[in-house]
Parts: sequence; C-alpha cells; structure tokens
Amino acid sequence: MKILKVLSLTAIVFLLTQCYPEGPQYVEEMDLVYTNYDPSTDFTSKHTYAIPDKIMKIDDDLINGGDPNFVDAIYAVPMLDRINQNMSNNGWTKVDKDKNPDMLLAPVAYELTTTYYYGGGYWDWWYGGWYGWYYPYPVTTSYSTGSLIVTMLDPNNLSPDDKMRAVWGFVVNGLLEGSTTDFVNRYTKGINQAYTQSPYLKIN
Amino acid sequence: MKKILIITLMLAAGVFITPVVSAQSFTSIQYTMGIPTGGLKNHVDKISWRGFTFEWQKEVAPSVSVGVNFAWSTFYERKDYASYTRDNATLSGIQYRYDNLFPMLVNAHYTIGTGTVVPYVGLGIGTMYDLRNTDMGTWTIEENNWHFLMSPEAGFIFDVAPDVSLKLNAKYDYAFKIKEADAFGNLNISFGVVFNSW
Repeated sequence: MKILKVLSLTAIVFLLTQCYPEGPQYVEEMDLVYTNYDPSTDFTSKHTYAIPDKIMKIDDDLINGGDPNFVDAIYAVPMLDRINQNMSNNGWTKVDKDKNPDMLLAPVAYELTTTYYYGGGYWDWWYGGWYGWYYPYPVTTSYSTGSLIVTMLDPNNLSPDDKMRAVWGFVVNGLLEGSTTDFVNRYTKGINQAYTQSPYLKIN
Repeated sequence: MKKILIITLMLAAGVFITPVVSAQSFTSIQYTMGIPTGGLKNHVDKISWRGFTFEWQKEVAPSVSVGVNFAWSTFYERKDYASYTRDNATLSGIQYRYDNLFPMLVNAHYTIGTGTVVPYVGLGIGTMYDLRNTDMGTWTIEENNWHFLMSPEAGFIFDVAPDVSLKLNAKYDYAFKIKEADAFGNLNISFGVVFNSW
C-alpha cells in the first residue's frame, strides 16, 4: 500500500513537471518596443530633424574613452531608412545638422551578453569542498540581446549646463539571433511599432 | 509572521490529532484543475490544467476527520502582442504570465451518511503562497506573496475496495487581500485516490 501511495504521488508530480508551460518558442516572441516622451513638449510646433548616417555602438571601447565603433552598414542602413520613412510619414522634414533643425535624433546600439555560470564554484552552501563542475561537451551558457536606442533631442532647449533636453525616445530590444534578413525584419518592424505607439509625433 | 502562522497551524493540527491514536487515517492524492477568480483572473484568465493535491486526515469522531492539505496549481496564459501604457511610457511585446499557487491548510471534513458513495463537506484555514511571474522579452516581473486562506469544500467519496476509495471534490481557495496584493480565488476541482489505513 505504501509503495502504491509513493508511486501515485511520483506519477502525478512527474506528469506535472513534464507539462509545465514552456513560454516563448521563437526568437521574435521575445522582441520588445519601449517608448517614452516629455509631455511638456509641443511636437506640432516642430517640423525638421537631423540624424547621423551611422549608428554608434555603446561598447567597452567607448566606455573606456576610445573612439566610437559603428554598427555594420548591412544592419544600420535599413534601420535608419525605416526611421526616416516613419518621420516622413508623420510630417517631419529631414535636414542637415547645420541647417538649424528643430530636433536631433541620436541612434545608438547596445549589446548585452548574459552568461550563465551554472557550473561555477557557487555550490559550497550545499556541498562543501565542491568547486562546481565541467562539461566534456560544448554547451550554450549565454545569450546576447541587442537594443537599438533612439533619442529625440531638442537642441533649442538647453539645461543650465548646456545639455539638450530629451523629449522622446524608443528602444527596440531582442535576441541577437537568426540571419541578417530576419534580424533586419524584426528590428525594422520594431521601429514601425515605436512610431505606431507614439501618435503625438504626428504633425501633419 | 508568516512562519509563525504556518507553525501555529501545524501545531493546531497536531493538537487535534494526537488524542485519538487508534482511529482510521486517510491519505489522498489527487489531480487538480483550477478556475481563477478575482485578482488571479486579472493576471491569468485561463483555467489551470496543471495541479495536484495531497491530503492526510485522521478520524477524530464518527463522521469527523481533521488533517492537513497541500496543493500546487500552475496557471499559464500567453497574451498576444499588445501595448501596455503607464503615464508617458509604453511597452509592447508578448507577455507570458504564470501563477504558481501553493495552498497549505489545516482542515476538517464531515461525512454525511454511510454507503458506497458518501458525500462530505469541509472547511480549511491556512496560508497561500502565490508566486506570480510576468515575462516579457528576456525579463520577468516576479511577485511573491503570502495570503491568509480560507477554503470551504464539498465532494463525494466512492468506496472501491476495503482500503481504497476514489474522491471527487470541489474546493474554493479564498486568499484574503493583503497590503501588497488583491484578494483572489481559485475553484479547485480534484479527482484522485484515497488510501485508508488503521
């Protein structure tokens, strides 16, 4: 009888763990788009903007004071095109940065790699004198996410220490996986969504 | 405070059970499904098909038994791509929502009549641990709360062998409102086996 009880309990727990909900199955299911804006800005009184033709990477070189690196044109050009297309659709006119634009758009890219150290020496609390484990076969223990961060700045609205006021921004975030085409499709779709969820930018 | 509550409930169960040493005891293991209500339904609207219940009871008087009841139910819902706005910020993406409920009860049952099929009613009090996750992208928002819990139940016991019965019951777990979270309910429908021993 006791064995029957144990078997029944084991069977139920086993079945439950086998059918635990799995969550996302595809890379694009983890894509996110975030926007935020300054409600005191009257976007309808602005008409022109300027944007660089490259996307700067926020990486260790930059953080350590070195020269900036830039996103490969194969990725950057379609993303910048999509930003310009959306700005145009909303009634904005692109001008050179020397033509006194009403707004500046500052696009940057940030890559974050998260690494798991499951096998590291963190298990001493449970099993003293044990220094983790090693894998005799290759395993994936990290994932990378990429964020395209675009900030709209008002060059005519400076703080006392001459910093421009950020009035709108968006972040498109997702896993850095898949082919170039898939990646560009996912990120350009994200850019479209950033404008869709920012109706206050429409000035036409 | 939460630990004290649990320990107190365990002791209460022990106090009830100890004086009756020769009575029959019942161990049940059941598959459980759950229907969310209240604050739980706001988070996950879908029925849970993943759950189990473990119960141990001892007869303390004719038709009356007391004991402990533990269960685990997992609620899950995938929300289609949508935008969520708070103040000036908007976040768009697919949300994966999970709720793991762990009700822990001290309870009493009263069986009505005798026969091959015996109806019963019961009431339990205890605590509910609620682990709630909202996943978006590579992030998760995790909340975990302990609620005071009250659980009325009713069901039928079907005798199938001298030491084995089947049990079908409905139990409504009502988790009271706390400062950090709203009240919520979970209507459990469970089916399983009861092992009787002396």
